[in-house]
Amino acid sequence: MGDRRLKPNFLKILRWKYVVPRLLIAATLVATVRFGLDPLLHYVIVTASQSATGAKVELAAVETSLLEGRVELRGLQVANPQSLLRNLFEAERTQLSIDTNALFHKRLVIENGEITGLAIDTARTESGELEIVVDSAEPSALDPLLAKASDWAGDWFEQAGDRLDSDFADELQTPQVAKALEERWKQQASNLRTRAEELKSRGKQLEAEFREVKSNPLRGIERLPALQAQLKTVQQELASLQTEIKNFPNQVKKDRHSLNVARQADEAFIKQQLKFGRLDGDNLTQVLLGQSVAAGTQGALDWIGWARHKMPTNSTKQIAKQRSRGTVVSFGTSQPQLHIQQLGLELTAPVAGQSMQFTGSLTNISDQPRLISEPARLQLIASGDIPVTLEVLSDRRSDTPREELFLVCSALPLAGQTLGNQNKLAMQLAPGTANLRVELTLTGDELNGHITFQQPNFHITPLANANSNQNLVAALTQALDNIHDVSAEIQLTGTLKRPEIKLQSPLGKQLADGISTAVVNLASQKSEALLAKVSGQMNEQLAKLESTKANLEQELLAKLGENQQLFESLASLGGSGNGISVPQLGSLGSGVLRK
Amino acid sequence: MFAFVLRPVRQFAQALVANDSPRQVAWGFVIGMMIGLVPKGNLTAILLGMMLLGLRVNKPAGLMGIGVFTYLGLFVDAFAHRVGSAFLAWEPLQATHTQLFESAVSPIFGLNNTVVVGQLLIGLYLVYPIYWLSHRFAVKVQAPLSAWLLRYKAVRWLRGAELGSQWGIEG
Repeated sequence: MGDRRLKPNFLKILRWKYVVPRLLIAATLVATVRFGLDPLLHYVIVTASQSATGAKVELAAVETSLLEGRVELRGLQVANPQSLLRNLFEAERTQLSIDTNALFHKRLVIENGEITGLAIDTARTESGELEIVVDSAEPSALDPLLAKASDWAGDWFEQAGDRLDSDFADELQTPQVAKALEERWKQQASNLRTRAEELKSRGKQLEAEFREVKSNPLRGIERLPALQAQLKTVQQELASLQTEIKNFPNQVKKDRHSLNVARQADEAFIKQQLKFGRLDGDNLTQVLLGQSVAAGTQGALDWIGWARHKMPTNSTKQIAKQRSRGTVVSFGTSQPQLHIQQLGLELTAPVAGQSMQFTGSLTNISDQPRLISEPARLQLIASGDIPVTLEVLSDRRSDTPREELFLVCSALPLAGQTLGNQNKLAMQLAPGTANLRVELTLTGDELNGHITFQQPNFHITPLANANSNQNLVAALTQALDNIHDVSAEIQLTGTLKRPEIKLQSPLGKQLADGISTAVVNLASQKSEALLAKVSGQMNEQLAKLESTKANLEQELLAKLGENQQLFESLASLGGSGNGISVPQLGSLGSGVLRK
Repeated sequence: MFAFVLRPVRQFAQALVANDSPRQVAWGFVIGMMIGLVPKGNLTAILLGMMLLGLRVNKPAGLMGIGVFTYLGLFVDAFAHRVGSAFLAWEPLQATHTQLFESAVSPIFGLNNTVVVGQLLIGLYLVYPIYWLSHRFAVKVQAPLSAWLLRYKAVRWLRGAELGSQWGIEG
């Protein structure tokens, strides 16, 4: 019975109740894929990209054609998770030609593609925040070096300005010594005058007492010895005063010596204060060029590190992945799961503050680089007025990954910038253009690079304010006017995480020499002026001392001379030391006692 | 749980007492054998499954074949791997294999897997013996056993509502 049903008609062997619904389901599935693939792909791209970047991803439209193997994305915007009102990049149109045959091998091969209207770091109208992103930006490896160099140069200029502005009035010894001597001479003159006055009054008193004894010798005879003793004391005082007056020249000599010593000390002090160390050319190079070099270099290294982090590292494991039962045999050469063979790029990116147009290509991007014969390569050439060529090569086909970056720009625009503290003394770098050549190689973790930088028409001027030392500013302007071009070479070694950057440029030395010479000349002039002032003060003081001494000597000698005769007459009365007799008293001349 | 435990018994009963010819039973069992042997997860296994369900063959016999040969297939995996490797490495067929591989036919059908190919070849080798044996078994056993079994309410119950409605012997 059953046999008969199968024999006559082939169609009868099919269970149509089963087959027809399945065919309908299959047709529905095809229609769903045809019309639902675009929204599904849109969802997958947006979700996966948001998950990868941690910020909003917007995609205006997706169009696919499985038969032609074509995928087109329009209006793709990926927000920057570090800056939510900026886009990491946006692409106006992305057209990809996919090898549909490879899809059956579970591989995605983009044979050809083109991204047009690609722009990096563009503005967004809405925040691209998807989740709270902690800013984990680390300081550049060069930052401590730059900060140190900048501080050093800033301190140097500040000290130079301060010291050239100062007249060291409180610190010079000569004026202080001169003032002290003047005070001492005044004090001494006053003292001597007092003593001379006392001596005079004492003499008058003695004269009176002697007169009284003369008028009544019998009664006064008893007082005579005491008077003689007083006379003797007065004579000694007179002698002492005369000795001191005689010593005036010696004292003046000592004072002159003191002033001389003080002047010599001041000379040494001024020379010391106005002695400037040479400005370190290497440090100045770091200050002038280090910032831009560090920013550019660190940016390039960050990109390489990011790209390396995103690149697959262990493709061997993926190749060795096997099915659970049996062995999958590949006929022909093994192929990677993802392979972007060629992708054309039209890119707009900011370079040195200017938006620049690039065209180029991205080739041989793969998740299993070992399986392709060529390394991944990015080539970009600027299409505008500024000639820039960038080539990045990533070779991960061997155990040691290797990245190379090659950049040539013969007219890199440089924005003007201000260096240093504008409240004190700063330098203004005028905008210009520079030749830049960068060669970086990263083999494993070992970094090796060479950057050459040359800027013709270099112009730098000091920025002064009201507080700046105008002489220093003038000297700097003169020194800086002599520098017309600048070149630098940067050697990069170390590792990606700890790069060591050595910056060499004659600019720093040229500037340091010019500035140092100018400042030393200024200091020399200042030193000479100060020394002349000190010497003048000393000479003036010495003349004053001489004059004071002469006047005082004359005045005191005149005063002392009046009493000297009286004391000598009084003294001659008791010249033997046995006292004087009444007749002797009587024989005293009236003129003597009258005085 | 009860239905799950009874399912093999029910299928066996259905295979024997269903209103299918011995050829349908035999073909169902053969296709089931192929499905059981071949590792799943490829278009070959799916295609065989669609054949079992889409062709007018005895499905319970096919399901029994799947159950039996899935279990047995695990024991011959190593042998199947050797057979498949030898077949895939056979020089005269290299060009064909390469063409099939590059056109994505063999990866989709799993025909570049040594065990899939090996089990498929073993299955193909066993098609006629298994068909012959199962056909003879069905011819000899199906009719008397069906008559004997149908005397029991339990068997009728085991045949299930679908079979009952198909035969018009509900109850």
